[in-house]
Amino acid sequence: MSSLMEMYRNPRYRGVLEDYNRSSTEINRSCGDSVTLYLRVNSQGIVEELQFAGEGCSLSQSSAELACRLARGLTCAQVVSLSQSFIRFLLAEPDQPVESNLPQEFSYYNDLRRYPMRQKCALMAWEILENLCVAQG
Amino acid sequence: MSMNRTAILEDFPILSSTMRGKPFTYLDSAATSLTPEQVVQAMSRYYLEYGVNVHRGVYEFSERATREYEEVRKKTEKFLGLLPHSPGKSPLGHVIFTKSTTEASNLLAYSYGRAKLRSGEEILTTETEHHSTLVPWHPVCEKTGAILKTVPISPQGTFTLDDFASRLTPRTKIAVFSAMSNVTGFMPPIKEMIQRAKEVGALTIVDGAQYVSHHGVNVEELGCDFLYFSAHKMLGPTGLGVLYGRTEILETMEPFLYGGNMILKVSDFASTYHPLPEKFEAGTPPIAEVLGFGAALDYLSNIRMDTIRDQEKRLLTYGLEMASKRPWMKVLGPKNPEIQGAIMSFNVEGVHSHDLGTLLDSQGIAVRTGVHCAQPLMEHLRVGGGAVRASMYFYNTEKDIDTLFEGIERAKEIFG
Repeated sequence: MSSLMEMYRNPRYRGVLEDYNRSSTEINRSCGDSVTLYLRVNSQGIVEELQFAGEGCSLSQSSAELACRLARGLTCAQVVSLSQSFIRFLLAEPDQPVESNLPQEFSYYNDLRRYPMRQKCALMAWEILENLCVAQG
Repeated sequence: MSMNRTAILEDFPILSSTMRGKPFTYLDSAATSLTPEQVVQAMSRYYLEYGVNVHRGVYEFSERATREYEEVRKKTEKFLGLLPHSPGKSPLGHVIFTKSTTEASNLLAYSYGRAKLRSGEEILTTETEHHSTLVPWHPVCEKTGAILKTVPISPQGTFTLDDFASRLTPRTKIAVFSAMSNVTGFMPPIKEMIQRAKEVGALTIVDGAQYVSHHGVNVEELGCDFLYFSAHKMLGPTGLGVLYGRTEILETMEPFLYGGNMILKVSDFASTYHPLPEKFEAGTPPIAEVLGFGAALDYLSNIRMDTIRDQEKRLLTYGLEMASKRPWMKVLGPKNPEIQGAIMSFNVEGVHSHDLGTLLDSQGIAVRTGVHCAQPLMEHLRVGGGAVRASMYFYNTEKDIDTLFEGIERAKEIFG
């Protein structure tokens, strides 16, 4: 929880990227939480820079921060694969550890596996990120 | 009759259970109430002993099911003050069983609103409404050209009789409003509102989903044309709503759903309909649910509605006092138990409502979080991000409120 709270309280990637070329917003209908991602993807398909904006609970905002931290510098294909592994991680059995080849930050969200009603909060940013990377290769 | 704690714990075994490994504290009765053993027994007795259809068979079990089903209708009429009526006098209104409050509201929007409203005529409602009371009237206005007007609310989520009455015009054909807000618990002066609406000739529709489970209601004294509510918020099962309507108006309305049970005579190309109330009860009704609801009404009558109201008033007063000692808690609504039902919605500074809900859940405390199916109200109260709602019923105690506040304190510590 503490590391999740650290990302929630002291985000490094919060803001509006000036020269973004991809952006999308999602709003959680059940609570009104919002996440917007701004990406700059270069001609080689690498996510050079990204930032996020939005309002909401610790899960929706910290996962946007984490998505930004982890996706920076990756290719779009790597981002899609990372996002899918986060989804698989959340849907796994509560006590299953994070696979060694995956970012250990995922483990901040371990408890969330027991709270399916809240998983949408943490998935919002990842879904946006994946769509932005899939949509245009 | 006073509350007998031992009996309550026996009747509601779920109160002694655990959630997330902690003793279960239920503060979400405005979403649905807990179900006593007696209600479950009435339903299982039906299924196990005489579970056949009503209004159809000529055999004994069907007769029994039909008789008991109709007895619950009478019980409901009695609960609403319609029975006993004076000999020789025809009943003022009818009780119709629907599948939910939402279906009852839609029945009125379709069979009355769409059929009878004309362009330029007005529907008056308020900014406190639940989606089930507000949304069905949006397409009515689109289809008919009628105009929806709303009574604005104060920052406390309240409005006065004048706020309401000053928006009535000779063009107001329908006034539709809740007797108790599902978010703030605010209870507007409905009796006077009904009277003023009638003075301009408007039809009056009262959403009783939150109110009826906590307060005795006498529809004759209240004077409304329609009142609807849900069985599952008053100890009954899910899947059953109640619509009370005045006979003379129901008779002028077309059916809402068509099919079996509601017809009198059918030929290949035409049919005639059954008189009230069956005209509005197409298809096999929720028989077990109606029988369960009968047991719920018995349970409530045994405790007495005024005892329930007194107990809840005490709990709400206690909760509001605890909240007032915490300047970092922002309670929505009037904060006045005289005009507020057993609901306390709030936010805690620095903790998002969903995070608070989850932290309470992890301590075994069930509350509702989010926008509570009342988005316009949340916008008007400037809490677009939602709020936590603790709602009480007679089976709650001061201890539950203490547990809630311990939970809130812990969440506040974590989020600091």
